[in-house]
Amino acid sequence: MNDLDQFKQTYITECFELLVEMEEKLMALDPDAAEMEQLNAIFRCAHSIKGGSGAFGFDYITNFTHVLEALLDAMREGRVAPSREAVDTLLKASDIVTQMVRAAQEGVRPPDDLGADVKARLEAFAGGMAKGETDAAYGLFGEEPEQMSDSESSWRIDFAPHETLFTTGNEPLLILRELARLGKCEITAYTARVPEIAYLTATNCHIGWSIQLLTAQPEAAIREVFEFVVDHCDLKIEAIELPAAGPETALHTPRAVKIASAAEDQQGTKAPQTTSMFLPTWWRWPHCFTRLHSPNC
Amino acid sequence: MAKKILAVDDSKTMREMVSFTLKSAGYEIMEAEDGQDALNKLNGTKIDAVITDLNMPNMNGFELIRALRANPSYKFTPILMLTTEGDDSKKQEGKSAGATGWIVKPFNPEKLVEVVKKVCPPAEAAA
Repeated sequence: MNDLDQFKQTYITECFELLVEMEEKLMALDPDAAEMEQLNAIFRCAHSIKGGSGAFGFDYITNFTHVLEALLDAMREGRVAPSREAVDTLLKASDIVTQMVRAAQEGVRPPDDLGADVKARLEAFAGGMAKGETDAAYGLFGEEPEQMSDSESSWRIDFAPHETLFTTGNEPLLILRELARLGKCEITAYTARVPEIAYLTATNCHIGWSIQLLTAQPEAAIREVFEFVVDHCDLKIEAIELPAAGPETALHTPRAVKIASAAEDQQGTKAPQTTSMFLPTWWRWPHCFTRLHSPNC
Repeated sequence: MAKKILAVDDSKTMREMVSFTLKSAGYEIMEAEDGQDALNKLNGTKIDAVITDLNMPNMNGFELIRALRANPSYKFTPILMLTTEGDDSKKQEGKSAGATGWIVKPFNPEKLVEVVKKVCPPAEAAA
């Protein structure tokens, strides 16, 4: 049960509308001259029915419409011809989905074998369900076991966004803040790639970061922080042994400006606190620059 | 001021679910039925993030993402794509169109809020 249950009725009403539309469109379909837009429209009906079904726990609708959708997808991609027999099977399938939605409306679970023969026919037409493995995607937001390590470990993360990162709508400072929530981290900005002012493109990302993180979270949790940017940056994540002298000595290199430290508070990364002795104070500006040119920050 | 998010989906159920979930998390929501409707409704107004379905009539999600990225007003706007597609090719197409990230349907409300916060934190947390 969750907050979304209140939309169940909207979903069921919409399903009935989509099923009527799907049937009308299937009946109007000429197998010898099927138009792409017709196939797309029919596909979208099945797709929307499937899309909502999982949110309400109607797994039987999800499983059945997945096969239906796969056949329609194969047809619109030209892998399977929309023969009269296939279209008839699709019509039967929409009838089965109608029965399933009716069962969902009444709050009863339909028999497990409802539509099993039609499902097998759909699969046969679609060519053995080559895309069946995509079902795995439904597990993504399920109940994943919490992976917690017993003890904390240290990681060194080198995060060098490509210059075009901002054009993907991603914001490196939000990523650093999210990392800081995983544990204790020390973040150092690398400004070596910042060009002379005359050559600087204000909307490009010129800064990289090196992060030393002490966390009880597993590596997967760290990688998840970079989920959306992994193709838009150079990223290296490695477990490290903390030197006896502590993190202060580990990260300093010339041309590096430490921009935040001990960011375990919920506010995430802080404003510049210390500046490396190798650089004058104005080298802090790249941090401000990032903020200025990240409209989403 | 609450961050404003545009939710684009041809399914009324999905629009209502996304709206409800994000409104509960303190966001302001604008809804659109497809890509074309989204562009008409946006028409240059400021938006903090976009959540879009991919399969839609008139203008699909990929076309919408490309159109938004081509507009200087939305060049840096976080755009999340809502998809039931498990295959990577859709994700790749979305990425190359300029999407910020993706959310796989069906989502649970907590996950949706978590991902949205990731790319567009609510106003008070962004300070």
